[in-house]
Amino acid sequence: MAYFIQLAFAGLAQGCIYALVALGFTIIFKASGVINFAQGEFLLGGAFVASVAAFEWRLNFFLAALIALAVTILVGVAFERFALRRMIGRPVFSIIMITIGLDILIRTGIVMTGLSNERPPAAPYGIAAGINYGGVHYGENELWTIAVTLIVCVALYVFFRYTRYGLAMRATAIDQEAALAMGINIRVVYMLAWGIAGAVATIAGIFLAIQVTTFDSTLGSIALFAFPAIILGGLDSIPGAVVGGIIIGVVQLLTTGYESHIVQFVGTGFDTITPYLLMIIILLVRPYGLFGTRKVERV
Amino acid sequence: MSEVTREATSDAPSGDAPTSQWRRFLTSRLRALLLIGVAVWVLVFLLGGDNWLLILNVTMIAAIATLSLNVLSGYTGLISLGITFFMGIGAYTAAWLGGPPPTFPGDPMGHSLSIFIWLPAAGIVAALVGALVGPTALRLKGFYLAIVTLALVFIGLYLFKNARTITGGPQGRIFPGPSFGDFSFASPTPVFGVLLTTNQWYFVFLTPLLALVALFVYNVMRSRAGRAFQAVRDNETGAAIIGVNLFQAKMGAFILSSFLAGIAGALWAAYPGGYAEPNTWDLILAIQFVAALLVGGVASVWGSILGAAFVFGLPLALDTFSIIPQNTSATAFTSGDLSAILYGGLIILFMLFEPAGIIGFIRRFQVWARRFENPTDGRGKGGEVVAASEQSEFES
Amino acid sequence: MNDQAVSPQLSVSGVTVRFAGVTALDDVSFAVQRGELFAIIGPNGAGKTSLLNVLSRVYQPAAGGVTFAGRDLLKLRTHQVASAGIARTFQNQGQFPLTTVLDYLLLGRHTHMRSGVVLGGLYLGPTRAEERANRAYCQRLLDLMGLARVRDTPLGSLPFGLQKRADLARALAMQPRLLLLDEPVAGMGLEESRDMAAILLDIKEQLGITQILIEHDMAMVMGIADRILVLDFGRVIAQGLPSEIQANPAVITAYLGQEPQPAPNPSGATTS
Repeated sequence: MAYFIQLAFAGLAQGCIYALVALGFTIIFKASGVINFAQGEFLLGGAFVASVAAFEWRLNFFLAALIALAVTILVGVAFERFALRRMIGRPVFSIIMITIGLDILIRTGIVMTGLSNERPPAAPYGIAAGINYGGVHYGENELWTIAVTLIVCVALYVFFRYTRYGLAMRATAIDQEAALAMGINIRVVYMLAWGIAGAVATIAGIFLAIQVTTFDSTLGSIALFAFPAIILGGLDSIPGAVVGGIIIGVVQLLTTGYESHIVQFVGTGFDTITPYLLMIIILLVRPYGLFGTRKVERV
Repeated sequence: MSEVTREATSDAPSGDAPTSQWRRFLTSRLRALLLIGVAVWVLVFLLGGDNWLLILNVTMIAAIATLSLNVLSGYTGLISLGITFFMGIGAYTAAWLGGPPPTFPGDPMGHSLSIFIWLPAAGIVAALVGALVGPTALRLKGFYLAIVTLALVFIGLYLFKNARTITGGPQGRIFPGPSFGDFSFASPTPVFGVLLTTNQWYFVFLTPLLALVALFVYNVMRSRAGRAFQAVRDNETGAAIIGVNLFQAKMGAFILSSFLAGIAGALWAAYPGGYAEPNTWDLILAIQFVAALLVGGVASVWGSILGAAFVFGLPLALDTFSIIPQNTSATAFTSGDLSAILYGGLIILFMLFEPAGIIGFIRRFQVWARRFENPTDGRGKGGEVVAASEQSEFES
Repeated sequence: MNDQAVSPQLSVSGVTVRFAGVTALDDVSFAVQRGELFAIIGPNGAGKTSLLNVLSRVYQPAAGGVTFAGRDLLKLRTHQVASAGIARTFQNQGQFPLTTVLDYLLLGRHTHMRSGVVLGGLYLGPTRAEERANRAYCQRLLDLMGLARVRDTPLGSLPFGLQKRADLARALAMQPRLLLLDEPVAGMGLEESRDMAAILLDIKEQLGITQILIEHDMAMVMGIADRILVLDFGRVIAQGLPSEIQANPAVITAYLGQEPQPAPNPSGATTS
């Protein structure tokens, strides 16, 4: 039983990381209709810059994290402004591809600095720190991941619900033309969307890097699991992104944990595809996800 | 006049008097180009040297794969990131049929059959898998289809890593080179007293293969099925109203694409090393093929070949001939990194400025150049409005 | 004079279409005889395009039935409508901007041709012959419709009037028994409209194809239609001969709103 709770707890933490990445996807999608395949590299970028700032430049963790946030937000906003803006109205394929192009450039750029092999993560606490209770080890990193994700969710909720620009973003997500007609500055909305996405990805990246203790340029590939998360939750639903992320995380960790029991049936590495199998099932049964709105694809 | 109209819309359309297509071909510019092409080919074959032949061979195999993706995504508009799944299926079919039999327990299976069996089989099995996967996948569109094909890649990786008897597990396995009877490309014997290298044999084999595949795709696209594919891409509802069975059209494209991907996969594994691990069929490779498709130009056969040259051939050439100086200080980067920067950058540049790819760029150039041919006709065809008062024969 | 003994080619009865809380069509019934030129008019939003979408089997009605040439049309799927003998033109153009005019007509020949992927790829004798024959057929159609000069031009590069004409040519290439025309002269000037009207009359008189057209251009409709159906808010408010429709008060009200009342004199006294 303790084992189950351990797995569930780890799954919750992992799910929070997916939730943060998924949030980034969903916010950009709601604001500008774009699926940003480069989100994973924002994750990597955030972790990388934080790590370099902490170790190469000997800065304190919070300063390093702040710099990482600044860099990622800047890159995201710049990409939106100079590349994506021109792609309005172009077919889905092209837009997906240009974000993939960005993904490749960021990752390869980081690799080419030569600093990205087996990097230690920037961390304010020891890797093994944590609380033990009832036979379960509650790692400090996991606890902080969950806590910060909660804070981010609350902050975003407050932002969207009660601030001017939050309202502007929600309006733009519903109907861009109407929002324009109301005098909403769409450019600022886009900027905010990409900025927020970059920020949550950075946060996720920093926590993830600590989780895996050393990381390299493949850190961002974990973001691919956020796709099943947003489809599970519903492409245009922010709570859906969070719930979807957590479900995927828990399911994945449970599979990993109990894999040894079923390895004769499913072989190794089954946990790498359970999110995708779940996603395919959802797409067949309930394509708009748990919280998405009905009109998913026009017929 | 009424007889003319009735005849025009009668039930039995009659054909032209057969003008000899061959005669027109033989005296045309096409013939001249073809002769030049053959001459160049012979020169390359004789004088190319192993380096160039390797680059060209890899490009040709990549071109077949890019063509398969073009059929699905370029002509029919079905976004797919999953080409490597079908390539893997084809490759492992080829390996199982044509690879060497196991020497130690735990070695992967192989039946040493000839290339005339394993190559078509690779395509057919991949096509069958496509037929199985298609009905489910094709229910989705746009981004959703893209994600499902992405999932296919990972499911494929998982399956390939676990099916040890076929794939050799994570360590990989040997893939058969072309061979039939006693003759094999891997260790070629002299023919008519001439000893050719492995790369030369592949060159001789791949060029007509690519030509056949390209011709096949070209033919499909200028006939009934291809028109249906492109109509599905442009407007599904409109296509259905005109009479296109959407499901049949999409499945046709999917199966043809999978078939070609299977063949390309078998060759991709077999050449140049003859050894591959399951990780070969990953998302990164799939994206490279998508890049080749877009950079070269969608819905164009030449575009796929050019795109393969840019995304696969060019980096290989730059690396082989050490054109890029290797920085030996702390920031040493591999050729893989440079080619990634190259095609990542190309994707962004082309998507921003020339979404129709190299072919689009060439076409725009041609239109611009035509300006100098006929000054009064500067706008090109269709620029002038057919006068509304030009009465058709319907007026009596 | 309606010959009651001849059953209509198309029979629509009680068709109702609803979506998202809106009733687009409400209990619509009418019949069209073979070879007729039947017009459907009505203010914007009256449900005319919805009706055409039902006949093209893009919409599924919530209630009602449609029979075409004795067959239950509602049993067909969208792509089967073409083989049943019904062709439709589109109100908005731009669905196939990259397709050349010739290829577009050849697309119209889709249900009359047979080559699939394999035969097409091999491009052997039967496919070659089929292509040649159908290209010749389409060429003649292009000549007749005055489109030969733009044969190889992509549709998207053509002026709107020519796109409409190419669309009609494509519909004719389908060799239909019934032609559905969605606002064939929308966006056209006077000359072009007259040309189009002449073409439609020719189609009726020389090819005997039944036509149902949706239109806003009253002059054109009154000039060429055999019978007219008037829709308003999804309901049939009148049907009959052009002369009858022109005089029908319900129709006038639907288009213009309330009947104009005489203006009241400020002093209350009638003017002399």
